[in-house]
Amino acid sequence: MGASVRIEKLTKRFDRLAAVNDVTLDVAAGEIFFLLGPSGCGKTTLLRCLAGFYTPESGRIFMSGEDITHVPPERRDASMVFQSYALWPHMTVCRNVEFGLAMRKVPARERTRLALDALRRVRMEDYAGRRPAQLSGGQQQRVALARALVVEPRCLLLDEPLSNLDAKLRLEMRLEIRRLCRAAGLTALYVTHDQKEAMSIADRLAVMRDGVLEQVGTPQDVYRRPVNPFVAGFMGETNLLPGRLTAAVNDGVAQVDTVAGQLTGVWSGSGAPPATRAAVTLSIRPECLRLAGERDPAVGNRLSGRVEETVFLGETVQYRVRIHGVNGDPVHVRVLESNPERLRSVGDPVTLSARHGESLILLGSD
Amino acid sequence: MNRKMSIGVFGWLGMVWLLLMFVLPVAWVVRGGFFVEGRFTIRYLLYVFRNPIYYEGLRNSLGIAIGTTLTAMVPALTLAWVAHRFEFRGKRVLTALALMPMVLPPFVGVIGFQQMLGAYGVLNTLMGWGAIDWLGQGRVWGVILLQALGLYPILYLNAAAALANVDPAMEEAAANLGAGGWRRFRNITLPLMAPGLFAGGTIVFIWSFTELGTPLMLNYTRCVSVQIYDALMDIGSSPFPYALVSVTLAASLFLYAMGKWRFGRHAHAMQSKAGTGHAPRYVTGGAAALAALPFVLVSLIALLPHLGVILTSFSRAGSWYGTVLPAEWTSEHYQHALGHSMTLGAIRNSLLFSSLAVLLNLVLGVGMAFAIVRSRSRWRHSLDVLAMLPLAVPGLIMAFGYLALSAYLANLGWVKESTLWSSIFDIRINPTFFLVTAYAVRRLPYMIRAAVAGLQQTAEVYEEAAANLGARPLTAARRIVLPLISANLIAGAVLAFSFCMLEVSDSLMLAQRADYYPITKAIYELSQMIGTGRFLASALGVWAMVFLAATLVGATLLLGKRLGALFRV
Repeated sequence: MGASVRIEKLTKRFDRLAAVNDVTLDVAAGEIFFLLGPSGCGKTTLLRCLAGFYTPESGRIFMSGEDITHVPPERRDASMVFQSYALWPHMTVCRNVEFGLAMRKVPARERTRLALDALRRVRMEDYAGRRPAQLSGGQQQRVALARALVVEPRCLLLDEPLSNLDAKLRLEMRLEIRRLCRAAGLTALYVTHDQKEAMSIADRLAVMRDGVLEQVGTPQDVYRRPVNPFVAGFMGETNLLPGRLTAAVNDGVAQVDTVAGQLTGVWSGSGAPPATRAAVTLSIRPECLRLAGERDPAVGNRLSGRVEETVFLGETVQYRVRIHGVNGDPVHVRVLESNPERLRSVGDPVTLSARHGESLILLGSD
Repeated sequence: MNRKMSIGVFGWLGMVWLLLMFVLPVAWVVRGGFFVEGRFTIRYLLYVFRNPIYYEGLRNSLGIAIGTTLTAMVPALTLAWVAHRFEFRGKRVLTALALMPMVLPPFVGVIGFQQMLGAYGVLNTLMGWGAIDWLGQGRVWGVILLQALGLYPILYLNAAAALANVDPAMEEAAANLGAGGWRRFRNITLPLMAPGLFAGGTIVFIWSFTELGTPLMLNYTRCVSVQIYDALMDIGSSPFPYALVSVTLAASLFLYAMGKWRFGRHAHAMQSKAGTGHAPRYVTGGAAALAALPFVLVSLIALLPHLGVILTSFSRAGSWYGTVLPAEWTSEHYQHALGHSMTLGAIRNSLLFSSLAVLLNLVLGVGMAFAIVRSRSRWRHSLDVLAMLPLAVPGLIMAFGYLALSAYLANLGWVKESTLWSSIFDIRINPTFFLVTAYAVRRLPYMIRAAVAGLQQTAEVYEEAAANLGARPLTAARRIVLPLISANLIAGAVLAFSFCMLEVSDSLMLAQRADYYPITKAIYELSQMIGTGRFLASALGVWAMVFLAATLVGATLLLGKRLGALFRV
């Protein structure tokens, strides 16, 4: 069974810049937890603090309740899967996998058995005698995973493990990683900038920006109820319409004066609702906007404009629609249409509608 | 011990060793020249410049250094350029051949050259000229020519490495804008490869500025190296040789610093590594012959001294006068050499000293390279600079420093009373300690460069992966990093080893007892003996050539093109 991980007020600076700034986080034993954020947000730094490659300036790290802040990397028992895999080029696949066991003084014969067993689990047993250079990216990835898993770590750290793979393989591998973690009951901390990866396999996730955790929750939670425009924009696509509240929030609903006209939104934040005239942003996801003429006739917000650009994506079509803004400036919104009968052409007039409940009032602007 | 600490320990170990065995002797020399009876004075320094003989010596040495570097530049640049531009059959063999002169220190070649250019030598015989002693007539030119022929391979390797680093897109852009071959080379390629070329040039310059063996063998005494050598007798009594050495040291350091200052800042210009692979043009037939011609010519001329040495070693005494080839052949010199205590002992000594020095370098060099590449300490730059500095300090000066240090240590009470300590510190009793140290210090830069290059090519993430799976820092270094950089280490070690075997100035100055002579000193002493000495010396030289050729070929095979990178400052 995996270990619980607790990060307490952790700060790691490079020169003056705080790459991780006063971060506190609890990850339950056996949980698959994702750290998500744009590059440079500090997610990898946080992971490397957990692995022990960086020593934080302040704060503490606990694993199974034990303070490991100053334990050297080799005694943390938190296997890492590196972005570049870091398979040692001078050793065979089997020797690579055996290395951790050798460090744990497992007898040679037992070592080989366990290594082959781990390679079998990632379906790489036929490649045991090869060198890493003779493997494809996906195969190297599997070996790296086997190398990390074979020592039965307390915790698995994954640093963008799939970023060097093609799209199809990525899909395959992320399910595989989840399967393996679940089978071993491992706690996993997974760093990525790919929100799809995170949403598809995370139990919970944290969105990071500038060294700070912006929001922590289940993928659904974070996707459906982002706490600010940044999270809304980072977790999937969204249309952000800046504006002001025209009246106080009443029963979770309020009117917002946006650049695209007056719209109704819901407040689902946890804190105190914003006051009248407060600057807010209305977030409506492209898939929440319906094109008129569809089954669900307009209940809620309405916007009308013309198609400016169509992007055919196969199962869906994405339109960029130009709407007349209140002060004459054009406003662009993105709309998704699933499985349309026919593609709309550029210049076609369209009416868009969105349910009130899917128009979220968020504090601040992006 | 955590990682930071292990790296720190190695870094400091190397630093302390360098301070004790490199900085201290050099400082000792400077102190000896400027502090007399406890007081600072520049009297002796001024005397060096006022004394017309010493002033002339300095001027001549400078002239020799300039002449040698420029002369060596011609074949080096030509060959590097041809090798860069053209591909032809036999190129690999020819490039290897062009490096062959390195297997013999220039001064040994003097024996061979005297046969070629002497009054009754090959040249005069071939041309039907009278008994003109070419080497005796123009000794300076002899020194310059011999040194240039011996040292151009270093420049060639540098030039080749620098050319390989020039992004072909730079030349392509020039061609695209209408620059022809020669203008492209002069305006684009040459400036871009200048830092690498200058780095090699500095080494050659400092080397020839203080080369001791060649002028000594040619009886050319009016240069600073020979003057220092002759002044060794006064090392205990007069501050004067110290001042002379200090001036030489200052000149060398100045050159080194100038090179660093001029090109160090612009090193980034070379950082844009070749984006597209450069493909030399494949030529056949007449064009190939034309491309091969410079290699053949340069190798032929540069290997003439070697040929002379080989022929001498096989010719019966007195049978090679006024003939193109020796009149009578014999292998008796080799048989005599086998029975001669000095030759066999010299081989044994050289192997022992060189092995010890390389072993010491491996341990210190790898540790220091780790500290230089992997630590984030402020001190790593100082360590890097300090570790490269032995390239700027000529062996002659180091040897002088060790002699002075030994003279001081040997007179200390506790050293005098103990046979153990005096056999370590007193050069007159046993020079092993100081010779091994001298060999090691001066070859350390090559070892460190090799290890640093290896470490820089080995991503740190491999070590992290090992630590992550439970390997302690030393285990990770031993099991992961060392195997990954072993090719670099072996090549660096082989190179350091051959340079130790060929070492001249330290060997000539520090080995004072015949039973501790290394090969070079034995060759020198034998060649000065009346009778069959020069034949024995030639035989020993041939042995050294064959041995070193084998080791260098091994290093080249291991490291390929990267060999050139080891000769950079």
